[in-house]
Amino acid sequence: MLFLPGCSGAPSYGWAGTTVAGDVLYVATMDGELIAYDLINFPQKLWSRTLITGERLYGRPVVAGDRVYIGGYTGRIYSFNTIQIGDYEPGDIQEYWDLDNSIVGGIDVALDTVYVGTSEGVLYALSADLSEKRWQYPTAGNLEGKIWGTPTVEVTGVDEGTVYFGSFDHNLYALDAVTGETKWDEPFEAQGAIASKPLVGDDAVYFGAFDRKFYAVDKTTGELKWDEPFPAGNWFWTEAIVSNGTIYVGSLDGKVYALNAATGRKTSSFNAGAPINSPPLIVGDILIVGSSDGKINGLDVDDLEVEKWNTFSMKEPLQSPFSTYNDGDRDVIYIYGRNSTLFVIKANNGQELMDPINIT
Amino acid sequence: MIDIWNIIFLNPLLNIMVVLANFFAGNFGIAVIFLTIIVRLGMLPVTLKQLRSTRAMQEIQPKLRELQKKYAKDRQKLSEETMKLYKEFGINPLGCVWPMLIQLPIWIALFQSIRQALAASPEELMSLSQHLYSWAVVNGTVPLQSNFLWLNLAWPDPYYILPILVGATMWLQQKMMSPTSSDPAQKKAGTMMQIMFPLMFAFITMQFPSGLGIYFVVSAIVGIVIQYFVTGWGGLARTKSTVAPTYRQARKVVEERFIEGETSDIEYEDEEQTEKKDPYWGDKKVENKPVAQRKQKGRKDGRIRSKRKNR
Repeated sequence: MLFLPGCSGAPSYGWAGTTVAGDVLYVATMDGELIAYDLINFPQKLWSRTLITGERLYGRPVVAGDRVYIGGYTGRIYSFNTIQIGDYEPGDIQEYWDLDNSIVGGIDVALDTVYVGTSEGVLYALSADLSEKRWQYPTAGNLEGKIWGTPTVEVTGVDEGTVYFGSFDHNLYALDAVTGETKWDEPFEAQGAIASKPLVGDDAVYFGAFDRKFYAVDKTTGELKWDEPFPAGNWFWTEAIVSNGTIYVGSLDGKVYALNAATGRKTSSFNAGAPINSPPLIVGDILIVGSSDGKINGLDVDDLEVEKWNTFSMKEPLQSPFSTYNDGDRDVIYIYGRNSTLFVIKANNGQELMDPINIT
Repeated sequence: MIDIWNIIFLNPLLNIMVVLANFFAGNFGIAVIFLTIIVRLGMLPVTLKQLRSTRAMQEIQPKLRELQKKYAKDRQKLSEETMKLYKEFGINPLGCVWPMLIQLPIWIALFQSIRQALAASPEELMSLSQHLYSWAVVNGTVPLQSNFLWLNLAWPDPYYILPILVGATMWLQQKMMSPTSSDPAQKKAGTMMQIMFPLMFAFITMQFPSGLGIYFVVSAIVGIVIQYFVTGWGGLARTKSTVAPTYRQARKVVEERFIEGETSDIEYEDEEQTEKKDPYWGDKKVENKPVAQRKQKGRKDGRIRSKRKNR
């Protein structure tokens, strides 16, 4: 059938990645499993739990308090205990909450509350033990666009904070984290859908959108902070990071940009050659960035055009965020590829620390 | 190779579709309907050429079979006579093929662009980003609304209405295109096409996003309209006029034709060849078609007296 090349579309795997908390590495796999590894005796497994059948995971695991959380495409949020509680070993206590609508973005946890957005266009605030819903926005109905990005909570005091999130309706919202009430007179409107996790800085919120622009919005007023947003060659989907007044963000145009956080002007950039949908990572003075073709680059944070080490190639697609851990001797990067392979490389030179681990 | 395909066919159609969706306030369903009609009308000259060539080939099939019987043992002579026949009727043997070759990539690209634009999953949406132009209208419109009427265009029709529509419209189109032939083998092949083709596409529609089903239905309806203006009702009309199992029914059909002043396409036994104005052939002679025998009471030769104006 000549139509078949167009029939199937891109296959769906999920792209949840790794999170390091303490001495534990949490990996959310393509098979819908959550695994905890002991980083001191790596790759010894501490525990693993299979989520419900057919689950796909897009957001990375989030550790808060004595729990690790992950949201699934089936609309279920899971939490497992990370420490021993009574007779229960880590991973034994599972709680969940069903939202009945797919979760693509990740979860943020703060103020004893779990914040998550869904494809129906509603942001939920649930209690940390997943026993009750505290509030939702909108209170009735839903936004016109899906919420596929991860919300970001900025805690400003005891029981005080603001949650920022973007939606496919082109708007960036700021809500009171405790009550769910809006903080700005109007949400900030970009010219395209927003799927990235907002980065909260000292006085601005930074995010990219599908209109191929990267924005800085004043936290207090919700108005544009830069003279104009920074334009790229394709959508922004992944989250940005900040270090020493410089924003680092990757785009689906295959480039990672370094922008002055105050003005939005580009200071340098690096062309990775394939869409970047994993957030970059800074270890020391090295910016580590991965592109969808499975290539990992270590760049100078002060000048992205300077490569600190030769490109490491995973030889399989990469879309997941990766994590770093200092084992006492060196900084190590953990990267989970789409073929369910876990790579471990040294942050200072990009060399493999051990053979890749197949997680199936 | 894939890049060339995307640049020349897929990306332009995809971006135009997104622009149309924006024009229709984000309604992707209407954009699919509109673009399908536009593309089919744009391909009209080629489509007409193909329809005429196909029909011409069908019409000369009896003559071709005669030649094959006559020169079964002389391939060269058969080949010569066949080419003479083609020339006499102005037929290019490849006339059915090249129009389809031109149209095929367009249909495939349209099919693929609908699939890409729907982008139901995160992976598909991310893939879509690599096919869009930098136009602000395009990037400001995606992701597209997937709701249209009772459908979620990114998912199969849960009520199976669309697969039924696809099957029915395709059956109609196939029926209209079916050749006039008394050859049992050809008739059988035609009947198989009329059944299998619609069933196959109805089944495909059940499995794939309903946005594709809308494309199938609209494409078939446009095809039916084009077919009607080129060849009339074709197989549908013949079904009505040639089935006359009883004398009374046959007489009724004949009388209706006389009253309406139409030229009957029911031929008479032993009648001489007559010239008729054919919508395609014009003034060219057309061979009489065999019909069921009729006998009118009191008449020995079975002929029905004609009261047509042109006699």
